[in-house]
Amino acid sequence: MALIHFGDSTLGTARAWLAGLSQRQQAISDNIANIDTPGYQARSADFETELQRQLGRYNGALATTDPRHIAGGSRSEGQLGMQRAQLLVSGRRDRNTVDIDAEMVTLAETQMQYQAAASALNTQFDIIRNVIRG
Amino acid sequence: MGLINAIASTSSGLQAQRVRMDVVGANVANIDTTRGPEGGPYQRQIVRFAAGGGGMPFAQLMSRFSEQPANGVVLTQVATDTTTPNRVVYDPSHLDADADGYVELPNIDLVSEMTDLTSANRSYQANVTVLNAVKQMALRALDIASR
Repeated sequence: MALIHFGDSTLGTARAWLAGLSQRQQAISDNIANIDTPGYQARSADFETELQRQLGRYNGALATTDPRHIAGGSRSEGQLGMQRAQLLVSGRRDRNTVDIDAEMVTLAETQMQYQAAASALNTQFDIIRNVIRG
Repeated sequence: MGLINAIASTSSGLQAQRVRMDVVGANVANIDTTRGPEGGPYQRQIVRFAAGGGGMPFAQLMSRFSEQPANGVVLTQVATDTTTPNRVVYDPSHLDADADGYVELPNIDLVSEMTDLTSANRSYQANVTVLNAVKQMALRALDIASR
């Protein structure tokens, strides 16, 4: 990721965020396409936990050598990683576990987060452009 | 790219639901057909869906991030419903009535066909919603750094 050379990891983070969100979108599309497939197991994409872990590694997390120290950088692991209760047992006779309501909520959420990530990226590019123009 | 795959999945869903609606249409149109392609009364047709891409676990899909093909849904078969019995009504004036005046009509129940139609319709709408969302996201991605 050569873009990180621009100064900080915001560009890389936004990029990883967008990639993760498009993976989640892929999972939602598959789930909705298979809403009437007998025995289909709904899938989900949890990338935030891993993203957060990676951010903690590169974002200059402060070492805590004393229990009273406050860890800088990223917060505790998994704070962003949302876990939604997965429907593992289906109430349907065809054993399909796609929960249409949950999928639609995730869809709306993913859409908004994608816009937020794109906006963050745009803002960052604006900053860089301003710096270049002087 | 994830979003393009998402569109492919959704379009397979749209296609599958449309074929399902076609099959329902054929069933309803033939609800009183006493001479089907195999001689006897028309037999109800049913669709069979299967998950595309073999339904791999997500971790495996993630590891093949870039060359990951679209999954979606596959319409594997339009089969004949052999479990539901034909309807038999007493109508001696019918041209295909037997010696006792009974006519064998197709094994189609209008109520279950209509339920199937509504279900296909709703699933189609859900796929359209997803498609619109993906489209907006893709447009948003095209917007990045375009100012």
